[in-house]
Amino acid sequence: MLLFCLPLLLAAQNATRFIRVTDNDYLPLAGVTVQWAYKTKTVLTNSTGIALLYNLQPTDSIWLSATHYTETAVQAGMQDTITVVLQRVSSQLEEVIVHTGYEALPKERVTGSFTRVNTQLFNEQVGTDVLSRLAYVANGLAPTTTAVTAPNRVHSSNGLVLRGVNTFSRTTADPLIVLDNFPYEGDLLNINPNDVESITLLKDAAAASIWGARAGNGVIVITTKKSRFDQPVQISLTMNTTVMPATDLFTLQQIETPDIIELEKYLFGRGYRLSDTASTSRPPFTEVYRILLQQRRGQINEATANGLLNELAAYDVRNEYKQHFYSPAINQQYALNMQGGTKRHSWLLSGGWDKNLSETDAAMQRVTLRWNNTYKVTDKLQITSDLSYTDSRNKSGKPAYGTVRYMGQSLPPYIRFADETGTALPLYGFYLKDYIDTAGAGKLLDWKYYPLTDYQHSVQTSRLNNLSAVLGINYKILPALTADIKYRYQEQNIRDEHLQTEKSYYTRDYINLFTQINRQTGVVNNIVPRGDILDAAMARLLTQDLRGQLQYNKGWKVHQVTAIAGGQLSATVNKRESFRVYGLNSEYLTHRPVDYVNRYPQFVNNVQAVIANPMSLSETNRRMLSFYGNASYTYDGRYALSVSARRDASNLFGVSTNNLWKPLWSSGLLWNIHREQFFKVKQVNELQLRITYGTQGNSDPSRVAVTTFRYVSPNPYTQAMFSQIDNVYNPDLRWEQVATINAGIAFAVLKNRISGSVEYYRKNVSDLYDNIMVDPTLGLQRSIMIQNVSNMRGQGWDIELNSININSKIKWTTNLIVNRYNNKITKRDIIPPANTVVSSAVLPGYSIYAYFAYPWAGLDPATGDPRGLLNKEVSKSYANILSADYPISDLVHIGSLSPVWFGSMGNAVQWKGFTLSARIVYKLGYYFARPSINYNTLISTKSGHADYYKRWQQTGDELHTDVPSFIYPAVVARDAFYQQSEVLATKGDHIRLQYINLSYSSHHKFLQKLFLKELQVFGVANNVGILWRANKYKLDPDNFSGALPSRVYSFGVRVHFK
Amino acid sequence: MKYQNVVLLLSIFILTGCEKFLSEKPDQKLVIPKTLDDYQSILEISRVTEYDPISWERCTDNYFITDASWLSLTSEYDRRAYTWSKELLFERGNNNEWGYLYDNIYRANIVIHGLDNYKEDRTVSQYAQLKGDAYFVRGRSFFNGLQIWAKAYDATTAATDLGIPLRLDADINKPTVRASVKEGYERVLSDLKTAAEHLVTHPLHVVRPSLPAAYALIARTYLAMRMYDSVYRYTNLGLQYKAELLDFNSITNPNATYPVAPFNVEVVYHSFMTSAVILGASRARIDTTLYKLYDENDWRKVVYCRPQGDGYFSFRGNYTGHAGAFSGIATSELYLMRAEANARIGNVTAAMDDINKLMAKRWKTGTWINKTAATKEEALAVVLTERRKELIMRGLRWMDIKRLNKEGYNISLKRIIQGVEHVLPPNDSRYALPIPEDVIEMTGIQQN
Repeated sequence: MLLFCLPLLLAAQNATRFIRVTDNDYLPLAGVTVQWAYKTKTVLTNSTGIALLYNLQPTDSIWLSATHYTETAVQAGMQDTITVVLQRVSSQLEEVIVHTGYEALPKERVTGSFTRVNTQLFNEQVGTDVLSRLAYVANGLAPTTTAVTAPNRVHSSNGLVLRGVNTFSRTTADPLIVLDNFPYEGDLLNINPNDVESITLLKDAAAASIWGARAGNGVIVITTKKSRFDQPVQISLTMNTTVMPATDLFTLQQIETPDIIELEKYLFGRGYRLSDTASTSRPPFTEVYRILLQQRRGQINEATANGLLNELAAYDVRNEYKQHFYSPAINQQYALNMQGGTKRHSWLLSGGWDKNLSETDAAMQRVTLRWNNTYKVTDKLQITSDLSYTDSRNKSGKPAYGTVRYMGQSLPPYIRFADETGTALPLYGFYLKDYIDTAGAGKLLDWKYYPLTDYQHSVQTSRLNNLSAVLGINYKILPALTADIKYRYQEQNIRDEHLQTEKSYYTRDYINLFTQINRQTGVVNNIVPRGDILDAAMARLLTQDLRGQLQYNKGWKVHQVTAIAGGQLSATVNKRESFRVYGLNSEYLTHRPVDYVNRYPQFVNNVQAVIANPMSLSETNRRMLSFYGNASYTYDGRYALSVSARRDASNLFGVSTNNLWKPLWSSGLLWNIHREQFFKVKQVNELQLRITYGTQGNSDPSRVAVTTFRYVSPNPYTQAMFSQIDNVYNPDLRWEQVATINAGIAFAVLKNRISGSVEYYRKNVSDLYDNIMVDPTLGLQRSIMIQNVSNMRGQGWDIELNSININSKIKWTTNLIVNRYNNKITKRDIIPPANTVVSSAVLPGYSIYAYFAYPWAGLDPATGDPRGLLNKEVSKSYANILSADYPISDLVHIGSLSPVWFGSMGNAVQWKGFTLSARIVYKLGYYFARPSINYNTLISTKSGHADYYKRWQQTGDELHTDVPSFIYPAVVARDAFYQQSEVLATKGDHIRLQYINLSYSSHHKFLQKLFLKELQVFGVANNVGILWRANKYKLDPDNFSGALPSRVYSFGVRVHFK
Repeated sequence: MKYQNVVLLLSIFILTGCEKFLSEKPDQKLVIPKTLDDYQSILEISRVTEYDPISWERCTDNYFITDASWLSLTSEYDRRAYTWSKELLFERGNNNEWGYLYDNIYRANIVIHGLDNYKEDRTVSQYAQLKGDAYFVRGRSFFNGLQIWAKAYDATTAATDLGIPLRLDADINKPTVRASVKEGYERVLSDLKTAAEHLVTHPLHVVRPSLPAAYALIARTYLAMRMYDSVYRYTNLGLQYKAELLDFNSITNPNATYPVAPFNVEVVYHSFMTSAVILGASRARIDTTLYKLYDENDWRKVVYCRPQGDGYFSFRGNYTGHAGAFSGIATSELYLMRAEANARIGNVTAAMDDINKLMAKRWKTGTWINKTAATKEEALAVVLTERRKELIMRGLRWMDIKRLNKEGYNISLKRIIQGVEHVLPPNDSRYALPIPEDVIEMTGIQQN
């Protein structure tokens, strides 16, 4: 540090002193007017933000002014170098740059709709990844709910939904994510969040259509920090730690152990599963059943049995998990950023190290490195390079709640993993205890399962390496015309390994199953060899992009023209392979071959089986060729007009070149009303009107338009391979088309004290991939086929308001985001049957997230059975109600499963160096099906929902409960009807305090002695708590089925070195 | 730094053009058929997973079910088929006999189309065999469809009687329309004769078609058309290449679950029908009159008939060696067809020779006494009785009833369910089964 500052110190002289002017981010400000000696002397700062002040007296006042910055006066004082930080007038006047991934444009000239999240807002939360914290702060980004992310619903895979999901297919539901210039295909965890400068959401057609056939769900552009010319070396360091207390498993609403034991006694009395004592597959019995069986056989008396059962009643498996497997999760993050620049060269070097330990000790470590360079070879030629590398490793930890299984299901509540001395207890979860205690007469491997220690012998590791290199050449052909070539190479390799040593239960069990013991000689023959079992999978992603682009930018008099045109080639190869190794000696890496072909009898039930061979190879290629253009014209800063067009071709739609090319276009208009002569409302300092229309596309890589076959396996008689149809010739297959209209108004009043924007959009989605019935006479081996047949419409409002409530020593600002979104299917030819509509199938005339349920007619006063309606009459024929023939018109449309209104409100209070900010988020106008008791599951798994206690038990109960009575044997259809009836529909509306951030930032003189420019310390509490909810069951609508997640605390420091 | 790659990508683009860049397969596992092996694989699946129709057995008098079995039936389609209902004999979608049939036709069409445009060497033997195979599959499928969804062939009305849709290429955009029965049979014959021009005499395995299989199927087609001199001609041609009969005396365990071995010496072409709950061994019982026709010395009384402990018998003589009913071609059928043709033409001795030859292999050694016939009619009666006894659960009885009723045999089918009698009179319109209703809805073709 000292070295860089030395020249400045030496240059300081008595009356001639330096002043350094920076912005809030400590970046030098050039062109700042500096005046002193009663404003008789004036200079401008140079590109490094430095100006030389001559004849400066210590008593002089220095005035600094620059557009967009508050005019500031400082006392000259005695320091050799005067450092001044200029504050921006307000965030509204900040020159917002919109990064589209193709170009960066000032906001004043952009007709499209976008949301920009800057570093400051982004850093109010802490996280390992880049995108998860966006949902709470970005205008237009919808929050997810448990119901819509269920596997049978359409939802984006990363949880990000920008202005709604506009498709029926999961494979086309994701927004496009762009990192700097190119779509990002790798793991998003490869990006160090501390490298992020800003995130821009491109929401409407004018903003996103430049991304063409992949932009139907909007585009999220991540812009990383870049180096700048002519800046001194800057170094900053960020360190933070996040602590999440272990999940409180007792927030799960479950039936308590004593009641489960009572239930099992009852089931035993009714003879449930007693026939299994003779089963040849030797299924296990629970501990309660073992005691009861011993009692029945006369091995123990009733008193002993009751004593043993009472002992069990005191246990709760949640305590076992808590004690043995759960501890607070700790995430640590360190990031170092260095940058500097001379006249010809600028550079940025950053590194990050993350170390996460989950609440069950699953470990993640990540190292990221980034090196960014820009060389100005000549005044016309500029070369940029950007290299980034990520290495991350994951290792599995202890079992999480619910992952230790008993007969493939969740555990009975009295299971213990260890005894009082901490010794591991076996769990007889797969076979009968008496059987495995004696099977094989000592010639088999130990067949007991010890959950307490098994995870130590069954370890999954994953290692990811990612290298990304971008090379750019920029040449100024004419002052207004530049040519730009960019090439990106990205390679990501992931290797997953699952090593199950011979000590693991899986391996011991598998070896035992395929063990043959000669009854005469006692010779043991292991068909599956002794040793460890290793499953390995490799995935390689290789992406190459090449883009050539011409850029024209010219302003004269009142005209301003910006245009780009270019072409792009992209190729993405995904290669995967996986295999298994048996009989592995992990130390010497020796392994043994196995016979995958012949069948062998399994030890327990003698059923013949082949040895599992989970081997697979696959390779997919995606290629795209695109041409695009974009032009905007601004007149007098008042009107702007933009047009864009793009054509894409991809290898997905095969040979039929007619449809290979698809033009997508957009157009937009902007009017800065406040710059009109006639506009004379003084209080309004900004009023802007925007309207755009255009189309985007949505393509699914798994859809192919040509007839293709897939080889299956050899015909056993002729040994010739046989194949089956995979895709059917489908010449009309094309991209889904999203036509968006967007109208918005932006305003600022009272000198920017209140500002905001209101936008309305409507998306008409046509050519949606959907099923059509296929004439069986065509012989296509299918009764349905995908074609571009359905339509839907989405519409909504994005409203954002910013206000500066107090602007003095204490500054209080508020940011309010209000979003509304709903959609409706306008055309769908296939009407799905009612029993699929209640689970997930979508109906024309309704939203894709419509919640349908069976009408409820109360509990039967005589029996406590749930009752529905069949042909408008009260009915208990559950099978008929659940049948495909149930009329859809008789279903109850509850509402939406996805919030119709959502958004957030952030408040920030600043006083001196302190900033306290907090954000509440809200989700309104939606429903969820609250969980309740399922008797069939209760009987088979011995665990169930606490609604059990509210169940109907005698006539009269139906007046105050809706929980059906317990019956044995349980009827699957009765449970299913109850689960899907309207009685469980619950309002999801709630308001949550999402996070509170307290930070203190200091530029104290004392820091200077430590060569620090700024020190910032902060603490964040995330997931703070629910402030209000509409449901009376005290359920968290975001987490109603599992245990409640804990509050998360983060602490950290950010240091800027001098 | 990455100049080489840039140059490489650029040159790929410029030199080979965008078309090649975009013609890369999106998934390496996708096969766009090009080679003869690719085409072979397309036809090969029909030998493993594809099934022939079963309605020609569901609707015949080879079997009956008891009232108890009727009540326990889970399939409404089976119930309606059993009583020759006029509608809803097939479930919707493609997993039914119609779907399976046209599935094979589509596949054959892809191969025929692909081979017509094949650019490589066409003189290799695989090319000819494949071409024969595809035409055989298509012709055979059309023939099977005509038996089920069209009226019996009648030269006087065939040109106007409604047949089945004849889809002749893989273009799925062509509409589905019904051709006449005449066009249907002509297409069957032309496909099978084209097949015969290309097929080998001895296939790799009897799951693949061969020249004798094509001749046998042509003979069967002429039999359905009641053109007996052609039946005679093609059975003779077929028997030239394959004439061996299975001696039932050599069956190692006549009481085994399925005593007849699959792919035995009689099998010319192997295929089997889809399954139907109603025809399962737990329900379907061999017609009692039919059972009584078997002599005590006739091995078929044991090999075909499994006692079920209820006084009735289920059928176990499948040439498939498993529960699936055999719908292929065996030499025994060729002998019976030739005998019938000879009897009708008047070659009484030749007809009886074939019968005697077959029976010697069916009866216990030394018990069969050679039969003779004095007249054409007498011979024909013997031949038809032996045909009735030999070819049960082979998918042939339905065709026989249809064609014999055209000859005035006046065969009525009768079912009695819970005391109610259902009758299917001779030449009833219901001999052409209703086409699946969803096909009617989607294509607008005329229902039977």
